[in-house]
Amino acid sequence: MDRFWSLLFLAVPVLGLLIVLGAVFNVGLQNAWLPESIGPRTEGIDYLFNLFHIIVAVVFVGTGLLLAYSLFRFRATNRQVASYVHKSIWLELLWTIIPAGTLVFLAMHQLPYWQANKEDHRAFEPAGAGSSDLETPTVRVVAYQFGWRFIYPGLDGVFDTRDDVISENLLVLPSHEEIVAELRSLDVIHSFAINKLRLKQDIVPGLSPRIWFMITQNGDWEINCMELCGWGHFRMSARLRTVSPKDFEDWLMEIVQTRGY
Amino acid sequence: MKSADSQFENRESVVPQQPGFWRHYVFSTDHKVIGLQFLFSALIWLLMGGALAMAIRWQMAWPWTRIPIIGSWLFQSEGGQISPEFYTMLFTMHGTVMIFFVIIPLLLGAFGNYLIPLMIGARDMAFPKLNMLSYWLMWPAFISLLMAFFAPGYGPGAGWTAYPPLSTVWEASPGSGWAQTLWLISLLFVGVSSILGSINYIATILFLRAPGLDMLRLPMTIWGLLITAILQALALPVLTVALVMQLMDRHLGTGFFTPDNLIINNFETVGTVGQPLLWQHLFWFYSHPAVYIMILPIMGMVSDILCCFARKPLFGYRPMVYSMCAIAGMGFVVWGHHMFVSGMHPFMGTVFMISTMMIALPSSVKVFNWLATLWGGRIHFTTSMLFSISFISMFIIGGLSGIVMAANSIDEFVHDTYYIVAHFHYVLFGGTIMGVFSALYFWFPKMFGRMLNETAGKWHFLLTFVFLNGTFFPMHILGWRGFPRRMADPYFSGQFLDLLPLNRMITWCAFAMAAAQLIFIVNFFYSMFWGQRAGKNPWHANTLEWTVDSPPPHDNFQHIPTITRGPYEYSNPEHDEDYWPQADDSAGLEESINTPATKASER
Repeated sequence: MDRFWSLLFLAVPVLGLLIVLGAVFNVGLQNAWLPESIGPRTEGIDYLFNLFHIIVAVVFVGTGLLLAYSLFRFRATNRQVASYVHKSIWLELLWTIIPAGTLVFLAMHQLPYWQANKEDHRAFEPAGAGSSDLETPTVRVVAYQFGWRFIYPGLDGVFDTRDDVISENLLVLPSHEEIVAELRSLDVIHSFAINKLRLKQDIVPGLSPRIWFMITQNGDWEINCMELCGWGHFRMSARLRTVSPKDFEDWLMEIVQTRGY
Repeated sequence: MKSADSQFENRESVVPQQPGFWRHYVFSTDHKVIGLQFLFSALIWLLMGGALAMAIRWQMAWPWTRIPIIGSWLFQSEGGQISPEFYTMLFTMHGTVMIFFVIIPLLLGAFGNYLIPLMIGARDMAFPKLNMLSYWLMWPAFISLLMAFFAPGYGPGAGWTAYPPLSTVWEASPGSGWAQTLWLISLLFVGVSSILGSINYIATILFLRAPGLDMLRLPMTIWGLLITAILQALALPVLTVALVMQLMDRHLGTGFFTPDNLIINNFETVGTVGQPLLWQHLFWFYSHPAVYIMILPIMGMVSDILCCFARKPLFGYRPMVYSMCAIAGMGFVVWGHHMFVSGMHPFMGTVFMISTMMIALPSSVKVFNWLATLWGGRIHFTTSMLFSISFISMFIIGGLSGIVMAANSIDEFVHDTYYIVAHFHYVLFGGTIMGVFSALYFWFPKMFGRMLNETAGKWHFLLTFVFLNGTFFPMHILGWRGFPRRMADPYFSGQFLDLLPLNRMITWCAFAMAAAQLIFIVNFFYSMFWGQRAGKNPWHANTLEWTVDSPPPHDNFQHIPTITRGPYEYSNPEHDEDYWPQADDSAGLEESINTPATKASER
């Protein structure tokens, strides 16, 4: 019976590793690893995601095998007496320094990606700085219970003027261009998320955070609210449509002209 | 301090008059009775929290479908199916119940109360009346939360995190009316109860230890409980104040958390200049240390149980203590990792990312020390031991996924997805609840004087272990795809429809796991009355609670023992037996030959 229990714990690293490998290499598990990518923004995040999972999988399998082996080898039916060992300063140092080094490496290694996606941009305004020389966003996103309103500055490139273009639950954007979006909420906290860009930004009412990204494919994608915002949270999704820059101009012009400004 | 020779004299004067039924079982100041009161209350709430989880799983597998049998009774107006506002109540209450009414009362209320005086050689807590008060303050909390279920809107629906303005503005959600107020009142009582309890634990452990019981001779269980109590005493006042502030926002027209000029469901907020991020900071300043409050006591108990059934000293006692202190200390500077995408300054994200990465270090030191404790042991696979081993195995998974999401770039992707759900269920179910089962199988004989049935226990373990992994491991797969949490219908937008079969499998596993708990319930009550009698020390363990009768008498010790060695003297070659109790002079150790379970596992 003791053998059975050590085998049971051996199953944890073995099955766990098989599931991860199956997901990564699409064997047995279809579409289980990261969703497809539609922009350069995901490159760094996906690289980190894979790297972290490789390191974590090594530790997971290593400790899991060690645990199962100890249980098998040191089962009571196999041994007369346990060894009387209290401590080992060398082992303690070993398993403090190696994980510490790994963690410091991981922390430092992933820093540039966070900075690139969150800090290093002229659209970024440090909280409270109130600087006015930020570039005009491509689009202003207004979230409310339970939908999205997308406001374009129109032909004059200035918000809050008569020629602003408003689109409900449909965000049309040019592909291959960097987009700066300013996020606002009318009521409660929402979160602007595009799964295939690995992008997520909470929209706390009263703050107007900015995001920036580029999409390199034309097509239709989903925008979801990813922060609980009430009973209709689940249905707060919008369509993101990327078209060529020329088509984008045409789409804007068409709306402006139909309205007759 | 009496000498060993005088242990039986004046026995009558030590054992008090038997109190009446009410004083003995209900309004008792005896730490053991209070511990059992916490235990039974928390186990009943565990059933409640589990039922809520089953309803969540039903909606994930068969969204908007009629629930068989109970559906037509629960939701007549909805055609027997779960409505969206009911679903928000489900996960809000599931989290609240499991955290505040199950895990924390189980660890600190039940095991803390029961074990601290017994393991440190004290007759009771330092402040027995305060102790009784801290249990009875839970009842207003229980009643408020029960009332919240029946308030309009089915109950609070802002999540257990209760982010404003969703939670502060009455019009924001069907559950943001009286249900939210009752939720806040309930947590206020829990908070006050826990603060009183933690002060009591700290005082007891620091000042009522038996002679010879130095701090570095304390069992790890006591270390875990002490550090947890300090964490609670420091962190809980912050949550309590935040709860009062939210109550004031809701009822007195203050605006700590609600910004100006919001139009929520046709209601406009006027004249308030609050900041919702303030609530998030205050809330997580408590609720991240709370994560360690929910795991540190179990880490201590598992350390003791592993040593007992591996018949081997704890490997690296001092590193184990230091790493616990490090987890507790660093636990106060990592709360911001819950807010990586909240809109706080990205530089703060960097700071919290680094501190969060580094808090994995003391946890990994603990795991390696547990593995080294098992190495070279003589391992008895009792039910309690199996649950403890599975604690390590599951905690490794939960800890490692924690490292992945500590990277803030990755967190931006997995935040609010099932990756997070998988992570904290591996820590809180795979870790804490499995550890709680281990501790229950271990200390049940002490609590009730009878052994839990081992055969039933092993079936309970096997089924729980298999279906726990069947339930929570696939949630990682959902997370890899970005499957959102807290959504009544995640398939609504269409991009996750192909994950429906996987969700159905998870739901079946969850149902099976819930069904497996029936074995435990039957075993628990059957063994309480008809189980095999346990002697004083059925597991041949070293710590002080095993030197007194099972169950221990009022006032625990006939005389206060003198402690001569540490708690982990297993298989010491200088001693004939493979265990060497902490106190030499305790009465009646020779009576403890009755060791049914250890023998059973050797067969």
